Amino acid sequence: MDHQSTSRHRQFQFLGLLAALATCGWATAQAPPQEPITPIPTTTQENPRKVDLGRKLFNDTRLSSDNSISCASCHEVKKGGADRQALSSGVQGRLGKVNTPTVLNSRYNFRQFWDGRAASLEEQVKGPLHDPNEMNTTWAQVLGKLSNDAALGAEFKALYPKTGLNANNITDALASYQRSLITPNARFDRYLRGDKNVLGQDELRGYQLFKSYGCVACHQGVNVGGNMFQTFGVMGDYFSQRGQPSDADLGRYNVTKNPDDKHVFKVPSLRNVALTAPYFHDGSAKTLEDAVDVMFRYQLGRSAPELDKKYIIKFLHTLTGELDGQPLKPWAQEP
Amino acid sequence: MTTKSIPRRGSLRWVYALVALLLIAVLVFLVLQTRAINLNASNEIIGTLRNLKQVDADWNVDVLRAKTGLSTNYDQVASPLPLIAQLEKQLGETTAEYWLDRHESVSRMRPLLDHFSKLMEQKIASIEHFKSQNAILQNSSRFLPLAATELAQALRNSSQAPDQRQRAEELLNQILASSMSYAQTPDPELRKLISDNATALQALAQSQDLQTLADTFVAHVHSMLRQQERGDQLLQTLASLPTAKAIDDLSDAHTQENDQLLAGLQGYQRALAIYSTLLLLLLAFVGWKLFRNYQLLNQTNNTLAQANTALERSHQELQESQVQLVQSEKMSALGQMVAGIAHEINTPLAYVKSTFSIVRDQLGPLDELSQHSKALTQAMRAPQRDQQLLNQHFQRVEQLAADLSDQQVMPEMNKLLDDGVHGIDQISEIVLNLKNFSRLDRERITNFSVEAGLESTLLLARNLLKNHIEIRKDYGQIPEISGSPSQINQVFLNLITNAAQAMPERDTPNIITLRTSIAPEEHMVLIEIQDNGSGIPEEVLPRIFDPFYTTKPIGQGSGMGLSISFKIIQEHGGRILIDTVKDTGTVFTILLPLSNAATTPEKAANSADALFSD
Repeated sequence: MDHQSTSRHRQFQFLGLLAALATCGWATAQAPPQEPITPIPTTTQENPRKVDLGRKLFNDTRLSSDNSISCASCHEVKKGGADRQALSSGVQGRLGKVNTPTVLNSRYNFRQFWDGRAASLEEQVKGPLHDPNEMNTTWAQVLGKLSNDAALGAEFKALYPKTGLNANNITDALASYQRSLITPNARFDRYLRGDKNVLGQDELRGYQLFKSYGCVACHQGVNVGGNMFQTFGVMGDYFSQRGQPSDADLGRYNVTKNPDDKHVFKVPSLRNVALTAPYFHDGSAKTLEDAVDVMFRYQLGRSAPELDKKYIIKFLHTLTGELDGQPLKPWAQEP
Repeated sequence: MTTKSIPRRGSLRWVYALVALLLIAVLVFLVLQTRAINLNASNEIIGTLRNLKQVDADWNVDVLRAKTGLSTNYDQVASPLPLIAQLEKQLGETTAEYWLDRHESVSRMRPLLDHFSKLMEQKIASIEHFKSQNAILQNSSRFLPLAATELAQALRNSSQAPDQRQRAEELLNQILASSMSYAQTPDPELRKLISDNATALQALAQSQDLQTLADTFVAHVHSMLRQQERGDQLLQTLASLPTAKAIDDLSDAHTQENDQLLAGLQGYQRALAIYSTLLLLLLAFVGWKLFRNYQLLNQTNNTLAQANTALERSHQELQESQVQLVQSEKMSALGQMVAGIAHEINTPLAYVKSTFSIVRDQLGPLDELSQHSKALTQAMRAPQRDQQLLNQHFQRVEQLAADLSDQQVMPEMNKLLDDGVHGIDQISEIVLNLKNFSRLDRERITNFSVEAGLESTLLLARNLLKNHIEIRKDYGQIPEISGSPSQINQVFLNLITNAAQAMPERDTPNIITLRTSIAPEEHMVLIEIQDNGSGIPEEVLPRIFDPFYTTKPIGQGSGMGLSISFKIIQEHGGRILIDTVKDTGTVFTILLPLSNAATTPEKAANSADALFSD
C-alpha cells in the first residue's frame, strides 16, 4: 500500500514537473536556439605513453590466432577508421557478421558495437579478440606470444609497475589509444565554433534540411549519433524488402531478448561518414546517396526531392575532421 | 603416591596450556571484533549513494528536458550511463568490502543492492526506449502538419468530387486537431476516433498520388499515436520506478547496519577493556604468585641446605658411633665367647687337676717302696751283713710290693693319667677352635667352607646349647665360598645364639636345624638356621634389622646383632630372609653368592682382556 501510494505520488510529481518544464520550454524557446550537434573537443586527456603502447598493440598481429591480422587491419584510422568492406575478413578469411564500424570518435559512443553490448571501450576489446570470425584468439594465447617480447614486457612494466603485462593492462592501453582517436576541426565544427564563413550555402542548406527532415532526431550530439538506439525500419519493413534476414539483423534483441528491441541498433555516428562507406550494419548501402535514400524511406517515412538529398550529402561531407592535426584522407577511388 | 602424582602433574600442565590458549583465543577474537572500522569506507558508501541519488534525480530532469524539447540532443541523457555504471560498481565493491566478514549484514544488504541494480537496469532500458520513441514521435508530430498541408494541396489540385474533397479536408483538420489534443491527453476514445478518421481519409483518396500522400500521412498519424501511447507508458514506468526509494532504502539500511556495527563495536571494545584488565590482573597475580614461590623456594632451599648440613653431620656421627657399636658388639660377642671358652676349658681342667691330685696321693707308697728297696740293696751290698736288718728291709719291701700289687696302684695310675691326657686333649681342641674362630680378627677375604664355619660356631656356642637344645645338621656338601670367615662366623653365632635364646626350657625338645644347599638358579649358597621356638611376633618383624632394636632386657643385648649381621651379608652380596610362624618357629635363610670364588679369576681375566684390547 505504502509503496504504491508513494509511487503514485512520485508519478504526480513527475507529471507536475513535466508540466512545469513544458511551460519553461515555451519560455526558453524565445532564447537563441541551441544547435543539436556540438563540436568535438580539440584535445583529449589520455596518457600519451599508454596511447603509444595502445597504438603498438592496435597494429600488433600477435593479437590474432594466426598472426594474420591486427585491429588496424579492419580499422584504418587515417582513412576513416574502417575498411570499406561490407563485412570484414577475420582470421583465415572468415567474414564478420556485421559491418565494421569506425574506431574514430568511438569514445563519444554511449555504448560500443552495433547492438551496444559493450558499455565501454575496455569491455569492447575482448569482443573482436575472441570472435571466431575476427581475431579468434584467447588471452592465454596472446599473453603467451607477447611474453616472449622482452621490449614490450619492459614497456608494460614501466607503465604498469605492479602488474606488468596482463590482459587488463593490454585492454587499458588499447582503450586509451582508442579514446585518443578523435577527429576535431571538421569544417562543420569550425562553423559551430563561430566561423560562419567556413560552410558554403549548399552545405548550410543541407544542415537546415538535415534538421527539418528530422535526421537530427537521431543523429545529434557531439558524435552526430552514437548516443541512442533506434529501430531500423520505423516507418517501413526494411528487412523484408532487403531479404536474406540473419541473426545479426535482430540487433539489440540478441543482447536483451526484449521483443521491443528487435531490429534495434545503435544509431551510428555520422562523423567522417563520407569516408566510411559502405553503410549500415549489413554494409548494404554502398554510397551516401543509397544510405540517405534508405533513411528517408524507412526511418523518416517520407520522400524528399533529390536536390534536398544532395544538399544533405554535402552537409555530411563537412563532418570529416582531422586526426592528429592531419585531415583524414579518403580512400583512393577504385578503378 | 608419588607414582600417581606424576601423571596428574603432567595432565595439569595440559590443562594450564589449554586455559592459556583459550584466554589468548578470546583476546584475539575480541581484538578482531574491535579492529577499527573504516569510517572513511562507510562515508564513501554514503557518499556514493548520495551521488547516485543525485545522478538519478538529474537524469529524470534530463529525460524530461529531452521530452519537452528543452535539450536539442541526447548527449545529456546518455552521459550518466558510465557514471551510473561506475557508481554502481563502486557501491557494490565498497559495500562488499565493508561488510566483508559480517555475513548477516551482507545478507540484509545484498537483496537491497540487487533490487536497486534491477530497478536501475529497468530504468536504463526504459530511458533507451524513451529516446528511440521520442525521436520518432517528434519527427512524426513535426511532419504531420506538413504532410496534411501537402495532402490538402494535392486534394485541391485533384479531380476529386468537391464533397469528397471537403470531407477529406474536414477529416484532415479533425485528425490534426484531435492529434494535438491527444498529445496533451491521450484518451483511448480519441485515439479510436483519430484512427477511424484516418482510415476514412485513406478510403477517400482515389488517385495514385493522393493515395501515396494519404498513406504517408496516415502512417505518421499511426506512428504518432503509437509513439505517443508508448511514450506515456514509458514515462509512467519511469516515474513509477522507485530508484530513489531504493537508494534511500540502501542508505537507511547501511546507516542502520553501521549503527548496529558501531554499537556492537562499542560492546566489544568495552568487553575488550574489561577482559584486558582482567588479564592484566591475572598476569599480575601470576607474577606475584611466582615471586612468592621463588621466595618460598629460596627459603626452602636454605632450610634444606641447613638440614643437609645437619644431616651430614649426624650421618658422620652415626658412622662414627656405628664403628664404635660394631666394635662393642664384637666385644660383646667376644665376651660371650670367652665365657663359653672358660666354661669349656674349666671342666677338663678340673678333671685333669683331680686326676693329678690322685696321682700325687698314689705316689706316697711308691716313694716308700723305692726308699726301702734302696736300703735293702744297700744292706745286701754291705760287707758285714746284718741279717736282722736285711730281714727287716726285705719284709718291708715284700710288704709294700704286695700292697701295691694288691691295690692295683699302677693300672689305676695309668688310667688316671689317661684321663688327664684326655682332659688336656679336650682343652687343646677348644684352643684349636678358638684359633679357627679367631680369624675374626683377620678380616681378610679368603675361600672358606660354610659348613666348617658352622661347626666351629657350634663348638663356641656349645655351653649355650648343650643342656637343652638338640642340633640337627643337614649339610649339602656345598663348595667353598669367598668372603670374610670371621664375619660370616659372627653372623652364624648371632643367629644360633638368637635361636637358642628364642627357645626356653620346656617339655617339647628344642631343636635347631642347620641346613646348607645350593640355589642353582640364583648361583647362591643357601644356609638355613631353623628353630622350633616361639616365632617372631608380627609387630617386631619389620624392625628386626633396625639398629638398637632389641626385645631383650636392658644389658643383655645391644640390639645391634641382627643389624650388623644384615650389613655383613649385604656387603658379601647376599641376603637374609626370614620365615616365621608363631609358636612353630623361625627360619633365617642366608643367601650368599656361590660364584664369587669361581668367577673372580674369570672376571679378573676379563678385565685384563679389556685392558689389553683397549
